[in-house]
Amino acid sequence: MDTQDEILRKGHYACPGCGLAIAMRLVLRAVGRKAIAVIVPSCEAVISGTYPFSALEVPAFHSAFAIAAPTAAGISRALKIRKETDVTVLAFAGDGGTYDIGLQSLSGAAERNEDFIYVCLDNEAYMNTGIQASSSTPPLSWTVTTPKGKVEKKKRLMEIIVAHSVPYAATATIGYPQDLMEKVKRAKEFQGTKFIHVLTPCPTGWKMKEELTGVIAMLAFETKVFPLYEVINGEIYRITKVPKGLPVRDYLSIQGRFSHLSEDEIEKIQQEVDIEWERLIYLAKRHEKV
Amino acid sequence: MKKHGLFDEIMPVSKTPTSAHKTGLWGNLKPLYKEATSPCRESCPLNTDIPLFIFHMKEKDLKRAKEEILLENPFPGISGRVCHHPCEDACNRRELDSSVSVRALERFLGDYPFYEVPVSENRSPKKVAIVGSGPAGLSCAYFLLRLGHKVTIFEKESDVGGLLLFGIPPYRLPKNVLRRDLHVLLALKPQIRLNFELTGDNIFSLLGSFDYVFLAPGMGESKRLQVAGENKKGVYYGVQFLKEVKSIEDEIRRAIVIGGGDVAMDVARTIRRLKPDAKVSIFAPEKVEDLPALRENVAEALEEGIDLICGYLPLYFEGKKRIEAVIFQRTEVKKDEKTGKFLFIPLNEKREEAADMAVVCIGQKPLEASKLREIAEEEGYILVDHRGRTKIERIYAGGDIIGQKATVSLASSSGKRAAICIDMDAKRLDLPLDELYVGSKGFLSFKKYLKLEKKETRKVVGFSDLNTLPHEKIPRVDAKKEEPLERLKDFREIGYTYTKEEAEKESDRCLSCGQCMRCNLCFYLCPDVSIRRKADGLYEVDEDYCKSCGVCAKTCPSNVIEMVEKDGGAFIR
Repeated sequence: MDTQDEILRKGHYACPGCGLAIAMRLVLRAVGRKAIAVIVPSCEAVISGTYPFSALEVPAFHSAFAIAAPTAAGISRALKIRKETDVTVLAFAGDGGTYDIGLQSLSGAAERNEDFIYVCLDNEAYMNTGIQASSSTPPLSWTVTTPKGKVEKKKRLMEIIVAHSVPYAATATIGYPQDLMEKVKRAKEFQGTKFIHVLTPCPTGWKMKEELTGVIAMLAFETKVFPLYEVINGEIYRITKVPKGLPVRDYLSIQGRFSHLSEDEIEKIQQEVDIEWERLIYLAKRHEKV
Repeated sequence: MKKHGLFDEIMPVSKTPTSAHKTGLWGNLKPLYKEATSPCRESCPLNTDIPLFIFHMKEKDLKRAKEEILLENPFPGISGRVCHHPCEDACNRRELDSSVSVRALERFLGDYPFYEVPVSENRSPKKVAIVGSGPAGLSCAYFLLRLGHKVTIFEKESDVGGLLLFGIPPYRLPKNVLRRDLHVLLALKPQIRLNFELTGDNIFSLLGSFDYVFLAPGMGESKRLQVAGENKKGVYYGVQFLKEVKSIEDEIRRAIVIGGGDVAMDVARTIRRLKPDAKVSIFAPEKVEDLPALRENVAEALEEGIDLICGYLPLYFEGKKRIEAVIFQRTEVKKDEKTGKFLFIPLNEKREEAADMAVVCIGQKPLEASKLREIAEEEGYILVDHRGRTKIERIYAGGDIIGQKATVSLASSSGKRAAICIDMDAKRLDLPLDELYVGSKGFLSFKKYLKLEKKETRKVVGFSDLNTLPHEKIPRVDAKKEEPLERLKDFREIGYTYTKEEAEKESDRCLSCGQCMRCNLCFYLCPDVSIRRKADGLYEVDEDYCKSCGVCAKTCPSNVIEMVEKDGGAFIR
């Protein structure tokens, strides 16, 4: 019944329980068949197929690690020249390709307000190469490069993007698929650079049972660790769903990457999450007053 | 064509679909959709599939919702008003915020104008006599008729309904609701013989002209206190009072009701209506929290200005011809852990209460035991086995006379049990009864008997089995009630049926335990695109690509997915 909406094919090589494959599938369903995808080295590159296989039913271009955004910009401009204005250009990159290696080129494309949807599939480390920390890895989290827990904070990527005054930026999670797909459809309505930051739990790198992918994504939201909101024109913040505010312990305790945490450290994370949430509320209310 | 060729020469293009890889070989498990039993249904004496009828309501298919109820419960309009709703006490949602108002939803459907039920084909129908037309007798008649048997109902009074007719005042159960619910049964054309007096002899003559007899005469007599002064003028008894008293003498100023059950509440509330200027007090032996009456009935009695004094039993009545006062003794009620019986322990404190009228509502007992001596035990109760059979062949019994807790739904449940067991006996079906149970409480399901049940009825879904993260806290929608002062003016029903909007809002609160609500989370959260939606809204699994991750099963809010071995046998992961 839904097969005509399905753009991600079966038989791809994602690990069992992969959150990223769920996100790609949902984003592609929401965008539809009139689309061209850009893929850069990452788990997405594996999922979308190694030569000669393809998991996508729309054309996809494998580009270099650092240039997801400019590649999409180029394709988008070429389509405009050919007057094919009904085709959506979609850039998929991981947190490594967005937060770290692709940040400079993304900034340039966003500054020029190139017309594409950029989807950051954030699994909070370089999972494809073997779980090395990225600037998206949350503090105190274990990775192979941070065996005692990461010292640095998680980069506030959304604020960097928002600082470019892009027409639409939003966070989404696979835990709430309807919300995710609605945001992708909303992004399609805007001209210019649209940015969607999707939290994609990774059972392998987060050291948890495969079956927990969906539940952990919901918990990330409900504990306020990953709030759902959107920002229009770099100005108007809107919280799209209000979390229950469960203790972060519920989220941390079922992930092996946080199993070394002491009570004090969990408390510290709780405090930081609460501060970040207050900050988001401040940003959302600031607009209401104007 | 040429362009494509050129492109291929510049760089490699992947053209083979990944579906060539049967990634399902990576794992040996697959999701199995198997709906199971909800705790509300398990605790319902009538086994109504509550999450299923609520699911139909969510889908806005009220006809199917009512059909679903009528499959297990002949009188949703009645039980939607007066049931003691064990379903709400068992509701998983209590752990989240508060239970779903199942009874109010049932009432809403009870009032929905759809009254047709199918009758099974029966090539050798039996003739069954049903004695007593209270909830047990009517329920037995209903299920026998649906099974294609011929039923004659014998009733002592001049109208059918038994306790439903005269034991529950119209402000809780209006007569037109009773008639409307009975309409479903009457459309199945039972024979009805009114003004029939049951005696020991005519039971046996019934056995001559009928294949089976079902006895549900109810409790004919009120229990007496056995204290001094009980015979004085002004002392009445609960059910007889409700049945016979239509007005109260002018000079009555102070009425006392003795007892803590629903009859006591109903008597007190009836007196309030018949004589609004009299002071009415209820004296109950139990503590407030242990009163056997329905919580709603107690709360409404208090709202209507009735005093409730707990922890007292009467010692004697004072007065000349007419009572002038009741002397109470402070009493503690304790449950004997071994026998389960209640012990009344007198405490050293007396209390005198002036009264010119007292109504004793301490329970009912069987009427004139001697009439049924061959069947009944010494006290007049009729003992039955787990199939509802008495010690005499072809005679079954149910309702209050078998000594169970006196509630409408338990009585209806015993009538249903007898109907199913009579049908099995008639068809020489040797089916163990536990195959018809849903859950572990020992109540029979008619749906299961008709082989229409699709759910796993042994597994009961608990709160911890559910993924409740997608559910928000939502306040319970309570149906509106008439203002207390307005209520006292007459005997009109005080509660309102949900509006359509209220019913929709409340049905959305159901967690749908063990019942697939087509939320699509399993479908959207399958990383391997291996779950497909079928035209009927249900799902199927593509084993060739399912990698056995189990995300669907773990994420399911209703716990209807279980990971099981694939048909192809075990693979090593």
